[in-house]
Amino acid sequence: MKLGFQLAKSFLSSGKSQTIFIIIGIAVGIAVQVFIGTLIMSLQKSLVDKTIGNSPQIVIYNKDGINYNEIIKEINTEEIEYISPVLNNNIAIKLKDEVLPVFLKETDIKKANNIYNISNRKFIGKLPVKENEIILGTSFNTKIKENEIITLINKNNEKKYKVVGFFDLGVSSINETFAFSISNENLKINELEITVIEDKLFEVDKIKEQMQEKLGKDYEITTWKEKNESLLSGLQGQSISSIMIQVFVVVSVVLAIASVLTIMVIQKSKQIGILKAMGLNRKTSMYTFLFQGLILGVIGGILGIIFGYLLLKMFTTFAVNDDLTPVVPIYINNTFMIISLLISIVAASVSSIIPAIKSSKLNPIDIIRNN
Amino acid sequence: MSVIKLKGIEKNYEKNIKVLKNINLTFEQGTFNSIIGQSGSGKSTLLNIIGTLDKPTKGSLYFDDKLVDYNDIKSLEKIRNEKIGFVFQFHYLLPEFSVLDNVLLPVKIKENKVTKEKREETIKLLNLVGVKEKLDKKPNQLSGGQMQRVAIARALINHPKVILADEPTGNLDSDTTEKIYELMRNICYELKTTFIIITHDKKIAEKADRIVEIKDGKIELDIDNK
Ligand SMILES: Nc1ncnc2c1ncn2[C@@H]1O[C@H](COP(=O)(O)OP(=O)(O)OP(=O)(O)O)[C@@H](O)[C@H]1O
Ligand SMILES: [Mg+2]
Repeated sequence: MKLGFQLAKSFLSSGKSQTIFIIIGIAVGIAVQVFIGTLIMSLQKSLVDKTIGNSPQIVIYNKDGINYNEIIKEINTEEIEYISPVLNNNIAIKLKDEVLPVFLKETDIKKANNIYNISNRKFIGKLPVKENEIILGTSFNTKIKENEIITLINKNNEKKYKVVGFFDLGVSSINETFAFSISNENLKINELEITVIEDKLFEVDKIKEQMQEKLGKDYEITTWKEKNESLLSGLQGQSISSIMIQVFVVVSVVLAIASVLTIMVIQKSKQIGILKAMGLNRKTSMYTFLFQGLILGVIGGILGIIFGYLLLKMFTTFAVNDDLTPVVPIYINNTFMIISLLISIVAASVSSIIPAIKSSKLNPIDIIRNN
Repeated sequence: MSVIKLKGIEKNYEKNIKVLKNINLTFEQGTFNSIIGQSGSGKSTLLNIIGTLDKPTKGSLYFDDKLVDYNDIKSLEKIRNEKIGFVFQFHYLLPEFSVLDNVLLPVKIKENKVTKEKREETIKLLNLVGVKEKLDKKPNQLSGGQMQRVAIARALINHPKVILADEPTGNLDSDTTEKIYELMRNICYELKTTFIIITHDKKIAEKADRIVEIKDGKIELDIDNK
């Protein structure tokens, strides 16, 4: 094996320009693969973030109410990032001359803020801290002023609240109907709003299935996927085309290495023949070419990832909006980078198999006799 | 004791071209043998069969009285590496490696590593063949005679029982030829290595212990010349 490696090294360094060209070829291929892959993933991530990043990804609802302490024991909390217990009320605001429907969420406002990210976005005023304080969607701001006292009516009950702020969650249907207030501690709840950790974002359907099994039919569970089907099919189409591009790039890398190494077998057939006349075994002569593939794959792959990284850096520096934020915020995914390196190594090794077999089949007598 | 024995060796190429016909030969340990014959008579074919590189159509070859199985590639590789040293007309050094590394190649094939002792022995051997000061050079920086000396050192490094040489001085001048033969004869007697050498040169052949002449694939003459 050691001899195979030494021979591989010396064969590669004896044809320097040929070796450099193929390494650059592999590096460019892997760089493109890394660039396209990362770009599409980042695009999708920012799209998903914009759409569902600031809202619950799983909602558990029971019209008869939920016992928070019981349920928290039942569900697997490892996959959950934030959880916010809520009492939902479809009620109305009574103004002087009109009644506005409002969807009031009585909740622990800190927990709700974790999920909706209310205070870090466009926000006027302050978050409610007392039981009779309320914040409304920004659309209400045309008819209601900050610090105004309003009356909420629910069937026969009336309750007065002080409006302490207006929030803008970026979705008009929410801005037109939502309101948050503080729940008093022993209030009954009927909904749990959940966000999952990032890795599990696309596995919410699996999580839902497990929850449903544990909790039973009385609980109605909905996921972000069910609410965003068209987004999902768009993402899927994008993923498929991204994978196609990456596959074609890798295939062309494989073909490039295979053709260079096949030529290498012919170029070095005299050397292989002499070595075999000296007793070189077939396995070592195969290693000679497998190692060449491996060396090309490792060097080309590492360079490719560096090139790809630089391309992405350039993209975030030059492809920017008016306010200098990148057109697509790029998320460098280390796992993806390592996978790309592995792909390049595996591709290089695979493409050296046929040349390796060719070299093992070379018969020394043909070389000795032909000179 | 015979090192090599050929029994009824025949070699045919397609359409009944008979290149070797019923060759029976025995070579003793530590002897210096020459093979002569006209171009096309079958000398190289015979030598390649002895070297296990080529497979006879019929007949058998024995190394140390053990039958060579041409279908057992692993045992052939071992014989080539440990029992035989080849010297060809076109030196066949590997241009990628230095003189020293070229001579060490059979060692690396055999043992996968090079000990300090083996390295020192190699330098001694290069000294013996007279190219010690070139050991760091690449083969293309050497003259033809120097390359042939390196090839002889490479053939000797694993202490083979037999050195097979196919016109080793074929493209060298007569002075250099004389020196190289002297070198090989000395090694033959000192190390008890058996030499089988093909040559065109009758004068050279006459200095061997034995002269075998091949004609049309048959042994025409077999002279003891001691
Ligand atoms: N692969 C082959 N197919 C058919 N005939 C072959 C083949 N190889 C060799 N021959 C023939 O075998 C005969 C012997 O060849 P060989 O090389 O052994 O001759 P030689 O005695 O070494 O000649 P020279 O002195 O020119 O080297 C020649 O007639 C050659 O044409
Ligand atoms: Mg010949």
